[in-house]
Amino acid sequence: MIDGNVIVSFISRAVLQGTPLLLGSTGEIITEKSGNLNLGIPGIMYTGAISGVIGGFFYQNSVSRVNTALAIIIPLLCCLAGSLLVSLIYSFLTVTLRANQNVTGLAITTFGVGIGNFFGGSLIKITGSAVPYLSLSSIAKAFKHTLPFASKLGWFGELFLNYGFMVYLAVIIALVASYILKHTHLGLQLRAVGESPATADAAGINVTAYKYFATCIGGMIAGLGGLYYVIDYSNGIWSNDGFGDRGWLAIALVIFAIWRPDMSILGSYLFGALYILPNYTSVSLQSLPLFEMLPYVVTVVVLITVSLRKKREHLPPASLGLSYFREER
Amino acid sequence: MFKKVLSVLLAAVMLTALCLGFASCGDDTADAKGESEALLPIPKIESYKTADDFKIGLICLHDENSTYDANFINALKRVKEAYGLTDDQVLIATGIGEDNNCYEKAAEFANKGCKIVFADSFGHETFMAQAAKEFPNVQFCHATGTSSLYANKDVANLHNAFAAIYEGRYCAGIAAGLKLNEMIKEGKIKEEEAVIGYVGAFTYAEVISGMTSFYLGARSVCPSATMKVRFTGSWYDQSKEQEAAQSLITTDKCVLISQHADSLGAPTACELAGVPNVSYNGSTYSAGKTTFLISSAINWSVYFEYIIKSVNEGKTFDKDWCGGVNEGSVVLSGINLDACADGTKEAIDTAIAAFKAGTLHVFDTSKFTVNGSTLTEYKADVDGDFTGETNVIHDGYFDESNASQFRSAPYFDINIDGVTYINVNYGD
Repeated sequence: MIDGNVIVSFISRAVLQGTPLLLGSTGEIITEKSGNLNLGIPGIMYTGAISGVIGGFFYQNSVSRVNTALAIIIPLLCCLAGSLLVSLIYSFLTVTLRANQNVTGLAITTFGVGIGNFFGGSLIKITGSAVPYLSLSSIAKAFKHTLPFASKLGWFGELFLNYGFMVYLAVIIALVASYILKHTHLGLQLRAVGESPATADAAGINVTAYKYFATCIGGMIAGLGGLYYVIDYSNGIWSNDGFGDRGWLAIALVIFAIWRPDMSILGSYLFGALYILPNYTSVSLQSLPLFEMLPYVVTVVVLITVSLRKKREHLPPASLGLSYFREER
Repeated sequence: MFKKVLSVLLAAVMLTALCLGFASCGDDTADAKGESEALLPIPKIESYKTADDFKIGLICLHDENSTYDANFINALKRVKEAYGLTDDQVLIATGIGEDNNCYEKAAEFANKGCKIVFADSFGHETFMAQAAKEFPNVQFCHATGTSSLYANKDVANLHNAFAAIYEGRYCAGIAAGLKLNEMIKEGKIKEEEAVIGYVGAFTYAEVISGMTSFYLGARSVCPSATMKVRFTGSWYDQSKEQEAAQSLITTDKCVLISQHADSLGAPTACELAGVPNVSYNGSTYSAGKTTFLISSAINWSVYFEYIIKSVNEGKTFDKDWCGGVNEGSVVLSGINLDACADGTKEAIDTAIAAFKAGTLHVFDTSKFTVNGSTLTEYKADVDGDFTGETNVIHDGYFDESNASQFRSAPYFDINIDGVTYINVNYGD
């Protein structure tokens, strides 16, 4: 017999696991809609996380009693600033200097992970802890506030109300992004830039501005995913390399969601569920790697299905990954 | 357009409400009693004068941000400070993989004049042996390895070392057992619900030996305790360990968690769920102020002192070496005074005294059964060929990590009654 509590717990764990993926993939979708293939997302998420941790660490250590509003706002702003900075580097290289997007993206990922481990390691040295980690428990507490009556509502409360605010923020961002992309003038122009920058340019759209704008906004949203993972999911515990390979999963999720942020909500929770699935079954240790590849297998299946159906709105932006040279029009 | 503005506004309002609504709820741990003094502290290192040209090299798999490697680096730094060694005399290489890089680094250290080269990871062993054959005047020491008395017994300058960490785990287990007793007494759980959860990395003897000694420690004070184990298949994966601990709590109804994997995943899951946690490798009190109980760790300084003094005095030293509570190789953190049951310190002190007197054997065969019967003989794999060949049970106990007779690296790999492995299939 399957225990109801276990199912509720499974779903809520899937949501918690899926949230960094949702923020990462929403950010990447917005970026890709402008024709920029940002493979630097894992690095940007990492940078976002460590930037928020740096802010939170110094704030937590400078006061004896943290103020909840500041404990949320300071890491949040630091995270946005950090991921903006790295996104600007990527945009400058690929949009202004027209460097190869794949190479730049991979370099940004290596760079971001290095930045995270360097500053993370340095902060750990400051604390002088024998076990190398940072604990931002007061900051985490501020982020994890839930509605006071959530725990009194049984399974409904645990399933829908028992999360920190960033889980809801991620869904709201995805829905707003989806709306803007599909139903607004801004979204139309952004998509035009991603499909055919030359046409958009001819129509008077500032291609460079849109690419910068989308990449930076996308990077900042992805950075929030990194911050969420450290502060909310890990309860404010930073260890080097703790973030794992979530950034790549977020990029795979973009394809799974066929470039639609609203689809990405479902997709990220599904990926989250697949990630924790081995813990709810009694699989042998040898077959764990098979479970770990499930999200990628699902992505490949979606790719094949989409390619077979050949619907134009399911295809990636036509100029994805290509630099725009005005002179070549 | 109106809808877009509305949704953005709504999001902003929700955020601000959240921020302001809960403004200034501070830390509740202000009046907490905190962590006690270490129950088994790192012994003070007496100063010692080495030869001026003495050098030691340390090869680490990762850097000091890995829990495992930090333990070696910090241990050597303590010796360095106490002996007044300079930076030129203590060379530390980090991020050296278990491949030819290890040989290259060992050879480089030997060429730079190191009298001792030490490597910290299991997979470094073959490359250390290769270097040892090439530089017979340099001592090559290797933690967790198995070959110095067997496959490489003719390589006189290759050494293995480990610690009887199962003694520390047993003591930590006592803290866990007393906590379970407290929960039973307070009516939070019934006797048969005293289920411990354990997050293990792999099914190696090192992990099984550690978890079993921990469990036997807990059961020595709480006879109804049972244990369920989930393996993650990785030494370091924060969220995998966190999720494994979480499902031990929710799915398997475990009421106390311990772990043998190197990240903070399991302690984090415990703190979030309010479930007591016994940690490893050092205190994780700041990550679990309400749930951390105690932690055990290996103190490698003792071995570093032993080999440095031996080399400086021109003495030969053990091919294989194992230190325990008696030698100071096993240390315990303080206990969390807000979470541990009353009498924890006293009970552990008694066990420590018994270890020092040599009267307490963790793997006493009268204290556990395998498939319902008591073990009288067990052929363990001590020569590292993956088939059991040597009987290691004598005088009524399983003689774990006996470096002079068998080897220092653990070889207790038995699934005893009361311990259930959840996600591993044995027998195929």
